[in-house]
Amino acid sequence: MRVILTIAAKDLRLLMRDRTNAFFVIVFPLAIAIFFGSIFGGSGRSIPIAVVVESAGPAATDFANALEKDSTLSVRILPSRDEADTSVRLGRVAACVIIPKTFDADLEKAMAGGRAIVEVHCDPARQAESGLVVGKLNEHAMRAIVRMFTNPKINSTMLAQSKLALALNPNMTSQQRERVSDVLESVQELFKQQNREAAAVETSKTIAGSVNGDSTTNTMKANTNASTKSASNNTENGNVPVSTPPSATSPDPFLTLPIQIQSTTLASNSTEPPSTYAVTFPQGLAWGFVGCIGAFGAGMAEERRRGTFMRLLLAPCTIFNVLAGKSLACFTACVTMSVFMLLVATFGFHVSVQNLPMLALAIATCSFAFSGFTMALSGLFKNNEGSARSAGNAIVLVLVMIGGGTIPLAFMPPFLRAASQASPFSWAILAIEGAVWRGFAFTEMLAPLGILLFIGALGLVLGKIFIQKRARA
Amino acid sequence: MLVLEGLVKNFGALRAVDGLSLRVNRGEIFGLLGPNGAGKSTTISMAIGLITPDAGSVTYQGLGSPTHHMVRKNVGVAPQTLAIYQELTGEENVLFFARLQGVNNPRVAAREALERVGLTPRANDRAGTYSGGMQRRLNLAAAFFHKPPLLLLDEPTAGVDPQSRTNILELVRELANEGAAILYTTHYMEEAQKICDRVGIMDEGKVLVTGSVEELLAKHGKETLVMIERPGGETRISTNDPLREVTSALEAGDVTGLRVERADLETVFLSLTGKRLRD
Repeated sequence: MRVILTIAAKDLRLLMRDRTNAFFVIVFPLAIAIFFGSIFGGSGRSIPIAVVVESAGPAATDFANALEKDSTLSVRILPSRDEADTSVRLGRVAACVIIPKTFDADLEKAMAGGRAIVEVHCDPARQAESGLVVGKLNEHAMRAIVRMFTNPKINSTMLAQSKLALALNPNMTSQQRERVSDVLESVQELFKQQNREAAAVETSKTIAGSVNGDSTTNTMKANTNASTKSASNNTENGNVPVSTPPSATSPDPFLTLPIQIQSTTLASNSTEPPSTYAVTFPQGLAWGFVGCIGAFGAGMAEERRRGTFMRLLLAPCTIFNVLAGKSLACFTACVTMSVFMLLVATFGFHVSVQNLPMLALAIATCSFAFSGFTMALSGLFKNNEGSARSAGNAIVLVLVMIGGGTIPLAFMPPFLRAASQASPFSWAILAIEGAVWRGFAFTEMLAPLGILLFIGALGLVLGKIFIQKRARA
Repeated sequence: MLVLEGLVKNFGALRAVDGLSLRVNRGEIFGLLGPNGAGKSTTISMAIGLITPDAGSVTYQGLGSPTHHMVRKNVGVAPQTLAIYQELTGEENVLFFARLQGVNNPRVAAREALERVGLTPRANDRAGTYSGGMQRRLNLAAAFFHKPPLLLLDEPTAGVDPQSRTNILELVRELANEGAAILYTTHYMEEAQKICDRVGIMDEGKVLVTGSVEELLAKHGKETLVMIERPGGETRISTNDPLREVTSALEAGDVTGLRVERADLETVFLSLTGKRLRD
């Protein structure tokens, strides 16, 4: 142990004496975190979302189908809220959409003030994507309302339900009830006229031989297609889909719509959604690990080039002792850098850590993984420090980039997202995020931590083999 | 103390060391003299167990194989490259290696070693700021701070100024006088001639001859050349007794110039290999 500690202390001293290394271990990751935190929210093209359809009614099914057909969304139907929330927290989807049990029943009372709520649980790391999801949901809500008002079956049921709700409402005076009842009567007349016109259009289409089937269904299809086309055109033109606001005096038209999108950020046990810095600091930590790998990997190559490594091998200790000492130094640097970064994040950028013990575990595991990784990498290359540094940097940069260190995984095409699983940095970021704001349970941390431990152990074993081979060469 | 027997090492098609045998005794400086590429450093690497020989054996009397912990504790090595940390101070360098060796009271050992190489005034400066000669001395201090009974010094004076060279040579002699067995490789014949008790002349991986400098000169060196200049021209006399030839020339008078060229290890090398040591 004395030998290991002596080597570790020496390597840390060397690290701190080299300003370039100190810059890449401390300053650079901090700059990355702050830079991305300042400019980011995260966005993507085909946005993965989970949808939970709790209502068995036709309106809910219709709404879910519409989401599935939307090419800008990649929908995964899940059976329960818990599973959907887990998918968000694990970063598999940008948001989950819950269509609740009462969706259809609430919609049927729309004319009497009923309002169906669609819940959206967003991943705070992907706020731009979540924003787009909420926008798309509002668009689909508007289309659903159009379908609702143009479908004779639905609008007649809705009107009947609304009349019933009106009659049973104890909070209304007889005068109010009478006025609303008059409005409903007018609406009924409007619906009848609209349905007649729709039927006439459909009949003429049938005569023309273009359509053969149930006129009601076709009317609905025609209306749906028309509204979809219109909305698509609007979207393509870069415009927000426009619908007639139900009240001209209302400050927010969506507040009075019969379908309301309720968006919340999925940050368990947190009163406030975490800031973007909570997302970018783990990315910054990934760059800190890159700095440590660069510093210690090149340090090893430099020792071999100068001959000091030979002196280490000639000391009365084993190669394992030497490797363990160097790993310990790298581990200590990784931990110190992580603690420093997180202190800055906490006190400088108000990032609140949800689970401190879990974070300590994540940092320790990441540090172990990258220490082992460094040993393997440094043993892989020949004695020339320059070439070792270049080759090592190339490998590490590719891994950190596909691992989400520069661009969030959400921005990446599917094949790169799949490739990111091979990067230790993606697991490190996930583990740290899991403790900082994703609210991972211990069981959810097992996968990233297990993989990181495996990487660390494998790195140490490979490092020992490579270094032994080079020492004897 | 150190016995190398029949060492062979090939690097691909190149035979770097070819059946090398030698022995270094306590209190003795054994100089391995040869041009660059002769196989001296490879021999040192095999002697300390960094390279496994393809054939032959390395034995440390009473200590076992070179990779054994007891051997490592009792051997000091100054490699040809400056194996020191440029970012650490002189004292931190030696202190680190002393701790690694498990020396009792490493700080005292480090300071003593620095004192002996004349680096105490600069002990707290970073090694990177030292001159080439000072770095060489530090490299040497990192080899003997634990007073090992066997020292392997691979070209310890390469590229140093005359003052540092004198300092290093005196120190090596002192260490041998204190009882250390020293294997000293160099391609400077003057050094070998000055401090080595015995010398092995090495070329193309083979030790061509071993013996004391006097023995080698007597056996393989040519006679001393005395050159006497007179107004009529220069006379060259090859002799075993140069003093007598010079005396008689001076007695005869008319001498305008006089030069004496003694045989040295360079001559020995030339006579053994047909080429100059620095070719």
